[in-house]
Amino acid sequence: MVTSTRFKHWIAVVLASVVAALALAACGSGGSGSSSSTAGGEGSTSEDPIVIGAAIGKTGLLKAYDVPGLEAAQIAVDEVNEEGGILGRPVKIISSDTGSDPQRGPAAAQEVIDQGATWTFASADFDLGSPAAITSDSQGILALSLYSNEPQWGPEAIGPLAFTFNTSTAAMGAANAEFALEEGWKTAFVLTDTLFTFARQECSAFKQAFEKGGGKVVGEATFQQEDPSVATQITQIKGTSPAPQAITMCSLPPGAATALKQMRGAGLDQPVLGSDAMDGDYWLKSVPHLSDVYIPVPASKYLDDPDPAVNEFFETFEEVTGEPALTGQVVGAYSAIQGVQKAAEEAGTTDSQEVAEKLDGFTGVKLLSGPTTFTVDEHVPAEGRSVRIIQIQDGVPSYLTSITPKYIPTVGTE
Amino acid sequence: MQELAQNLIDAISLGSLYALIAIGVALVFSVMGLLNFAHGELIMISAYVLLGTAGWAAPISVGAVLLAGVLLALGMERTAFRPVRSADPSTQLITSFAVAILLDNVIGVSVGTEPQGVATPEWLNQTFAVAGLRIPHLEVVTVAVAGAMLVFLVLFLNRTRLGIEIRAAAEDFQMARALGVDANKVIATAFAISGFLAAIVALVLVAQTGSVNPQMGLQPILVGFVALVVGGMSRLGGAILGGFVIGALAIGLQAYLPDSLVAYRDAFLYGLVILVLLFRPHGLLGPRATVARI
Repeated sequence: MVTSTRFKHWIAVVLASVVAALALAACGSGGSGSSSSTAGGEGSTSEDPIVIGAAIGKTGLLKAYDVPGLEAAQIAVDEVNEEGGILGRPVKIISSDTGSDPQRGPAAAQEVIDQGATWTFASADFDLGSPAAITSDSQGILALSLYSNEPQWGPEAIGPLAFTFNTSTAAMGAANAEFALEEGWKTAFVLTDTLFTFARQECSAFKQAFEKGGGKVVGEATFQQEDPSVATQITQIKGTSPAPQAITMCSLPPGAATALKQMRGAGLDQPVLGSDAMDGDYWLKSVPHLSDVYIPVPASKYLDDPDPAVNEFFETFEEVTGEPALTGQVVGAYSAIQGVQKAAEEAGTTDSQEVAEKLDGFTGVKLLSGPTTFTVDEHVPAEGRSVRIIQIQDGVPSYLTSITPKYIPTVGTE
Repeated sequence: MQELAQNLIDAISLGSLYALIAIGVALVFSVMGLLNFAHGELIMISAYVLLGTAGWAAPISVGAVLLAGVLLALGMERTAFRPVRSADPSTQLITSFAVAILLDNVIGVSVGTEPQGVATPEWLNQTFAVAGLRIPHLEVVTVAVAGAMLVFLVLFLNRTRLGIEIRAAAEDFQMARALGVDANKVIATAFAISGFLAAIVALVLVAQTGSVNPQMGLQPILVGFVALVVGGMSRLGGAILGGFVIGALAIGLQAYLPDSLVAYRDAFLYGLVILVLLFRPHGLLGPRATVARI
């Protein structure tokens, strides 16, 4: 993976990044597949396990995010099996490695499908996980994501059999906006990391919801995940008049940590509203004594969530895996198993098409990641989801409050 | 005016970081014609040594990082590049890819792939003001260290026997060997210095970003290569100039491109690089016409 990435980068340099830009654009569009055949649904006896094939990043960049996601799914599977399985059949997870390279996604998905996967899991990010999901969906196999939350994870960019159970980026951005307005911050500067779709979407949703609620975006800038310096952006924020009362920054570590470190060092002490991908304390050493930072998440992993079931899950996670979950987002993977169990039992079959039809009818179904509503077009939960705001104060993150966004903006791949 | 001056300060700081990276790559390239892709891993592993020695007294920790950079570069040269020294340049290039992948994965498996925070002295990231301009302490340190390294290199290459041998080898490797220059010693020295420079870059990068991850060497090494190509591969001054040009372009484009285009900053940056190369195929300081080394 590294070879090809390096080689690509080198070529991209020579070709003035045009190729890279085209490739990125291509990433945004996806095939929508047919959904006729069945896999594992026919001719199976009650003894045959239901196989969930995970084509995910077990090595490389995504390992830190995908492996805990899969562990969360495994916890759900173990619980399901203890209760007698799904439709009386035990559930088993198998996996293949994409090396975190989206180009290897289709082959990895095919590998688990060939091994008899009934349904599949793909990586916890739309940009990196969708190729595997498209392969699965186009062969009529349910394509779940561990915990992607870009609204395109569904018919729009993958296909009718693609679903995810983590709270949508649109709801995350909107929750940030409503939280800011509740706190009385009426002006904001928006700083977007352009590398990932989720970050662009969260900032876009923030802007829409913030301005609709009466706030004013007084300035905007972009940066890139790998930039060693955001000095220029700091100059822009400092030069903004009136000075923004809050800064919204959509990114993920390590780029997010770099930007925060340099912003705080330069004396920008405003409250910062971050992204769900910034949840977790593993990066906080980068910015000692960080305070006044707020992160929207689907669930608090700090054992202080208002929902006792969430706290119980994160205790179990630590017991089973030996370490605390990296981020609260892993509840999405746990809920995916809960969701397909319910849908399969309603459908009376594991057939992907029929399970998907039941999922399409979900309205406020209570799962660990929150009440879950899908429609034929929307396969990422947003409506009715309560977003937890995590506050980082003196380097310590903890649950602060919950926001159920009243207005969910529409976001594209931005 | 104020903003322009501020951007200029930031460009000088970023440029000196890029120049340090480019010189490290240029030194090895000039003596053995190898574009060492694994130079990024020297930076990355040195940074991990900083993570590993985090609780130690600062001078010991910094010393350990510098030592690690040098030893790793020497080890790399001895085990991976010396056996392929007389091989085709493309074999050497592929070898450097292999070394890079190997080291990435060793770190990924042994330490983990998620970014990890490293606490650095807080005063490094604080700023002071001069005539309304914001100057982070770290930028002063970066520029000072880069300046000191340049002076050291110039003195070393011009005043010491080993330095003069390196320059001779860079000029004409076969001739230098025929005249009694010890190839092993010269190349090992070039690697050692490039490892030392990589370790310094690692210290600056970690102080700037506050974190380490297995991919952190990738962006710097690409910038280093491009700086080297832009400045001219045939002499060290080219690497320095290239580093500052790329730093200034990156800051300038970020600051002055219209909002709708700033997301495509790197496309403009590399577009300008191509433009430079169209008029100066051998780089800004390269000869107007010559046969490329590889």
